[in-house]
Amino acid sequence: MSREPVRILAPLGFANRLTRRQLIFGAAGAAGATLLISACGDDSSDPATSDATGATGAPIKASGTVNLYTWGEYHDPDLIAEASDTIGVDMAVQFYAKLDKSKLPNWGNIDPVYLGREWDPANEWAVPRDWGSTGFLYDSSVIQRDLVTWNDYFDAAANEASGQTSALDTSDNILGPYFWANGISWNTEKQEDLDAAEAFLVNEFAPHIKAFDSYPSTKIAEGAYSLSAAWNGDARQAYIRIADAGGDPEPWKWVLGAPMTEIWMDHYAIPGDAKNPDGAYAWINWMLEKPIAFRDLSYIGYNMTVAGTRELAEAAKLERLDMIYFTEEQLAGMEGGIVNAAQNRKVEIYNKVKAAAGG
Amino acid sequence: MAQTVTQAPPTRRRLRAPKFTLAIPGFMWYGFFYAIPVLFIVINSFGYKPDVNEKGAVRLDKLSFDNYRNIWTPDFRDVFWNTMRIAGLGTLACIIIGLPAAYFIAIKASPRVRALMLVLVIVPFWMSFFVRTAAWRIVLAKNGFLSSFLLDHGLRDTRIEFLDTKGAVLLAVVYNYLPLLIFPMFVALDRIEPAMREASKDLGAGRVKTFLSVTLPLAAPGLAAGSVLVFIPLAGDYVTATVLGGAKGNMIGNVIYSFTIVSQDQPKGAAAAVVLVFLILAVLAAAAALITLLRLVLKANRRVDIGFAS
Repeated sequence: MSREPVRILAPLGFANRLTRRQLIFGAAGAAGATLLISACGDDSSDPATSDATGATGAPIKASGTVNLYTWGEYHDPDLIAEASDTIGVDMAVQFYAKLDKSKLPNWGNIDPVYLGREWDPANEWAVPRDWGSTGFLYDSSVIQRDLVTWNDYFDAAANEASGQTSALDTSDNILGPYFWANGISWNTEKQEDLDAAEAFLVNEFAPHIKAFDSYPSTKIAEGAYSLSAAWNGDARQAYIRIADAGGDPEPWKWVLGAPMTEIWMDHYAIPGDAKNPDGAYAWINWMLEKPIAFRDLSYIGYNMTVAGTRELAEAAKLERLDMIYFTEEQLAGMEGGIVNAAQNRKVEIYNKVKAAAGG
Repeated sequence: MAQTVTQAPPTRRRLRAPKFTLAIPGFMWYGFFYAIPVLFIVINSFGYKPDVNEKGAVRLDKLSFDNYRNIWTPDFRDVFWNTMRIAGLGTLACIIIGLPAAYFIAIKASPRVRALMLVLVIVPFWMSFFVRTAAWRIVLAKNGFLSSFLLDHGLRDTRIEFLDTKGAVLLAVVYNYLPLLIFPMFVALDRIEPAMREASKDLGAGRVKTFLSVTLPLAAPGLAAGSVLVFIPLAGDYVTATVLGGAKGNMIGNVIYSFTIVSQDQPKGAAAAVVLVFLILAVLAAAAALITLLRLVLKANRRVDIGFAS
């Protein structure tokens, strides 16, 4: 059994620049990789597999190297290191291969609410891993008022946090907050909506941006920002990082985007030309074991699709559970993203905002 | 009876390879991996990106200057300007810091320590470009140790706010590219015979005059080579700006990256790259013209009438 080192083929500097959706296309161009984290949905409830719920056995063994494409701080390095001993795979893209669920005995551990979604109605292509949302963190010692909505985010960016604000580095997440602040769906294709977004973001917002940063937690700990848009899991990690760096996380407040914000769900998918699909299945299957999924959750701070992980998290009294689990009211304000005809225009606006921010 | 016959070896015309043989590997390398890809970039810059649901990366059925028009707008012009400014200031800073250093190593330092000093100049190159750039974040972070040290010892009243600015990019590019100036500069200075400086002194020139009129003109090719070696890659750098520049230190390399990789709009990225190449050429041409002019003026002023009037 070869014991090559772990290879995660998404260095931070590169991953920072990719949006979840763009990663799918980006990775498709890279040859020879095996496993891909993707941001679309998976499998519908297949009665045959639903019956297998709870059929957890020993982890499947495989061998060789698996190239895992993932995002910044999105997998616990301990789990990746342990994969070598536990499943015998050393964790190192044509498009996806259809899933062979016979190789995923833990499929039944997935909570059926996450199956059969519109992006993969029959759950043929991808295994749902986790989901989350977007909001922002602010330093209340700098911004001494309560921020509640995306409007407040933009207002604070233009005032107390001018030049100390970070925005997420993806086209959708640059435009989303503007639309949500103005009661517009971020999937809008209307010309006037996009024009208004461009005018506001380029002229009113860009001059106050310090950095485009999809994983601001590290730089928050460094002291770089007073206000940062963030994914909830990364925002939760910021508290840990600030403390690790010897700082005081207390003044930092987390606000889930309001009145509307994003909901996304990430998946594992196996590329059609994968060299080691069995290794990939072994990894995914292992990740679907409840205790492993719980550890995954403890590290990244996102809602796992494996049923029962929430109970484990509550029993373990994980810190800041409110940043992982959302209320019904919060869920009602979340909308998923759609790739539509406005995509190219949105990317164009995103590039203009970035150019304008450098002025 | 044995008879030994000594035969003269048959005269054979020695085959001589043509003179350019030695250059073939280089030409092939540049041809396949440089000239042809650049040609594709130029062609792609006139194409357009297909719609989201269509296959392929570049469409060439309708060629136009649209990408150039989209790139040459005020916002992106600011990025080009910022890039040229950082590249120009960075090159200037490298000359100001690197010239005395190279002069010291080549002329003043004892030959025994010379090799060691040259090794020290390249020590940073033993580490990956990204890592040595990212290391500055540790040193200069607002909550980092330097900031804390200065604050605790009353040397500053506030914490350092230097990262994610144009200044941070400038600092790091000088650090990253300085050896590229010192080396050619050293070679040029090292080649100057000490006798030249002695002759200058014998003829009555002081130290400054000797440096400006003898040493510097003789080392000019090294200075030119070093400056070009620094300026060109610096103008296309995007790693330094990505790691240390934040939104404000945005350089055109970041825009090209964003167009090509993030936006998957290769034609627009190609157009930005072509514009960058032309801007670099324009700056170099302007610098060359300026230097030529300067030399002509100096030459005219230095004319000495020694009495053989025609």
